[in-house]
Amino acid sequence: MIVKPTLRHCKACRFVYFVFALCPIEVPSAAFGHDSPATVISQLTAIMADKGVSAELFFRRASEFRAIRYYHRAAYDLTQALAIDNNMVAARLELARLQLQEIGNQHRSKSDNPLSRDPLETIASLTTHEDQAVRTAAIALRGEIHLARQHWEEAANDFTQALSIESNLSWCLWRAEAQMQLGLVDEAIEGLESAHAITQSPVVRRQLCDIYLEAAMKTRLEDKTHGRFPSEDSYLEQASKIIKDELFNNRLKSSWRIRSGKLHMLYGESQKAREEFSEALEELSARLETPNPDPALVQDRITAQSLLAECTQQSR
Amino acid sequence: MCTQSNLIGILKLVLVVIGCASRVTGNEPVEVTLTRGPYLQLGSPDSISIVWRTVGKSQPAVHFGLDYTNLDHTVPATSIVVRTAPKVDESAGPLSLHSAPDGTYQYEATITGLEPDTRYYYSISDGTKQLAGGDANHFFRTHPLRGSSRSTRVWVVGDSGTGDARQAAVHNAMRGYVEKQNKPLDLYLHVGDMAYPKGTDAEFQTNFFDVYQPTIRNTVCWASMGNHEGQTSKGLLGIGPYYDAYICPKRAEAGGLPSTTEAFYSFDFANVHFVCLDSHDLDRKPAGIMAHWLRADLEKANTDWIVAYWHHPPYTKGSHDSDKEEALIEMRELIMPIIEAGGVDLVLTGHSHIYERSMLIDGAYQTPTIADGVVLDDGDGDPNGDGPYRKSKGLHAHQGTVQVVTGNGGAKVSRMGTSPVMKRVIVEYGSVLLDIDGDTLVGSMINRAGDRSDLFSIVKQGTVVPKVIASPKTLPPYTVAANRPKISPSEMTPFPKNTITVVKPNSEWDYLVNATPSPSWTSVSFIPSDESGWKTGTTGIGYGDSDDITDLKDMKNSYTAVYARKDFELAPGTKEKLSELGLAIAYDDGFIAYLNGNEVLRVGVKTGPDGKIKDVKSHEADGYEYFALPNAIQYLNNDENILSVEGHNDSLDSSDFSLDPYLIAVPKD
Repeated sequence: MIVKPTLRHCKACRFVYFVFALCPIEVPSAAFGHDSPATVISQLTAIMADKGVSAELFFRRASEFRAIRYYHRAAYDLTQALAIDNNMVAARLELARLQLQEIGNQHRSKSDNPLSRDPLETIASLTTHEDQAVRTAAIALRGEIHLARQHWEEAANDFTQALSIESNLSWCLWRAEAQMQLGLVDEAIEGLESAHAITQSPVVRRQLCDIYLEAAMKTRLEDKTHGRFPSEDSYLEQASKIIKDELFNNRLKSSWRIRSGKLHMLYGESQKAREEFSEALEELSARLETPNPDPALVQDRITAQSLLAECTQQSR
Repeated sequence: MCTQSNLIGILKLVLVVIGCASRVTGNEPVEVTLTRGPYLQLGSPDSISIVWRTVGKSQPAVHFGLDYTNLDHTVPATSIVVRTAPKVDESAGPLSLHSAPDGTYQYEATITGLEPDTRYYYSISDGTKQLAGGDANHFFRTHPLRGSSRSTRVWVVGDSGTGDARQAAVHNAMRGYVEKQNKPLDLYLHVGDMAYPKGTDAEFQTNFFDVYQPTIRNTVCWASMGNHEGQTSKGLLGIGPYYDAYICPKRAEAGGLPSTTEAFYSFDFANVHFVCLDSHDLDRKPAGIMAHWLRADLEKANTDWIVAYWHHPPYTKGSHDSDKEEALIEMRELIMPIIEAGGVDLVLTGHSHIYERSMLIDGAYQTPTIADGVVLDDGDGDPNGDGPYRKSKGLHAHQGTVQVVTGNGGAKVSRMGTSPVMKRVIVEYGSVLLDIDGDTLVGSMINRAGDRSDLFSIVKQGTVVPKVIASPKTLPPYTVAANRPKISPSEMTPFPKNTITVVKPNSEWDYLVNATPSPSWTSVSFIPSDESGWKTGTTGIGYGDSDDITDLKDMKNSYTAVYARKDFELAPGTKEKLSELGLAIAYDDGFIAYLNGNEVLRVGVKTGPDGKIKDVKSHEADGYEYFALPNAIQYLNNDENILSVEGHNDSLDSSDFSLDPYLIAVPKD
């Protein structure tokens, strides 16, 4: 009564591998569609005991283990699936994604666990796969692994390669992040401006504004030493346009007030900067009145407090 | 830059194909058949889309106007996008449907320049031949202007896509309720799982479009993707039958901020901002694009109310457990903090096949979910009971959210426990109606019999300072097992080996006592209603001997018959793999069993039914006895089935009665 995963090798389904590249999957199911993961796992285990194992069954059970956060068991089942069918692309990508999650985990698994193995090794064979969709998915995932390891150049290159085949906002944002780390400010801005022109995405707009501000800051620092970036005013002007627009339109303004404060600091307007940071903190305090606040807002408060202190110190 | 060039390429292709669509003329004459719709999509104050499908190429035309006898406006052909089945035109690129039947053409007509909050009638045609509409039943109403304070009615349903009688009953019950109140729908939100089991194009047709056509021709369905649609559609790429079926806003066409994807989006209707998320197959992490977009969207939203909806519930103990499953945990731990910091008032979800509704809560993000420290109002929210939940006027962070799980739209309902934050847990098929009028939001759960099973309200007036309730009044723990002796299989009737349990012992059945049931009570299409005396109870049902869970204290000297029915599901192809079906039953004194309306077994009852039961032979329940049901497999349906058993006592003054059945099957191999 098991229905095999519908990862058929048809034209449309090739794109599914792009999905694997970006996020963990939930595998197709039919017969067990209405049951909880725990129930499905016990049903699959019974079928395996009764009728024998297969790569598909291991893959299917792995996805259920993943759904209930049993990552070690999921990784084990994916390894078993690959032991039966070494060419099972979906299992390989999913295993690499689980291994990617472990990067930076201070309580890493023991070395004999498949979770602790290098995800780059897991997907190495896929980055030269004959199928373009599979190859692109693997390259983008490799970029994500490099990004997590702060291998900026490799990450930027991989995302550029993936983007040359398939448009994707996440890859675009991650590439800009890597490029900024590499000091490739103009490249990062160019990529984001292009993406924003097409999509009008508010997410891209935010990152773009942050990069303008960061670029202006870098320019100022570089000007003192090498004089390499002559376009500080241009960056500030671009950032200013976005900030004014967002402050005018938004109900909740704290994150934009913080950006506005940064802008004023760069213009040397400490008093105005202090006002913006203070107003941001006032709004944030209402939004943080809960025992379990949004971590992003907590970070905003730390940033605003820190910059407010810096401004106050400067003005003294 | 590659991203730009790819997207520009797609845009160019769209323009070219739209141009081609306008030149559909004079090929070989082919019989054109309307196969889907017309239905509405992507409404706004000044625009709407009308979508339909034909098999066979047509010359699509849409006429509309304020009076259905005078449809005096025509949609320009350039405003009708034509998409085709994969085999029709392999070069169609992005305008190719993912997986429609051969010869399918999908037409997506966008009407612009409309007046807000205005009813228009419409028709669709193939050239001069009208295919549908042009009558009083085909109309749409544009959205009111953003911010206007107009009374708004929203229908919310989830996990409905079975295509069976339960789904139809829930839909019909809602329509009957709405008609009785003479207050039509403005919006329809689907919280996912609308096409079981895999969300294929064919399943969308039979389990969504065919069922809801009378509603979706007048009301836009704003969908969120469930895990079942996720088996054939992919959120990151926007491909699959789900994305073929819906046109969702990517560029803030109906308000909100551009999401650049149909997988998550927002829109405004009057003074309400709606936010739809993809909880199934997108990154739910705070650093992911969806979370970033959500923050930005909520920061900009400036209506009186914000309603958010998606598939996987942050709080449930229905058919799923939000303390154990990753998608549910992440929506609670990672997304809910953004939702509540953004001032959302109401969260609607599905996935768990049950109706659950919370108290007014805030900050309940931890795992496992607990009630301590998160309940701002532990009342029932009922205007006729403890009173509505109260919040400050306008949008404010952390003033409390009400959570509604409405995964009871058709798929088999069940319960595994009680989430500590819930105030109502109802194991009943149904859907939710929301009425938002000025500063008041009212939610009603309408069950499949058309009765209101739950009522809650939120009122936003003045300034309310939220305060956490120290020891909130929570629901009692859910327990299935009762204190009764364990019933074992009887040695008198050997059970087959290697069986599958189809209907579990000690599960919840609908039952009727002290009344004569409708003649159709054993059929799948029959709906047991409270009004006609049907109740729900856990088997065994009976009295005396202390061996029953549902105790019929009033049976002795009052009535001799109990009618019980239980629904169960079978995946397609299952019945072909079975060699035998059998009933295990502990009974006292006699019974007749039916499968989908067909009598399959009679024990201890000579004549009847039809209220003429005679000659019931006395029998003491002594463990579960096994009865093979020869030829019963032929009566099984794919998906929904009904096992019914009527139990009879041999006399009114008998000392006991028991009816405790379950169903098992023997696989062929």
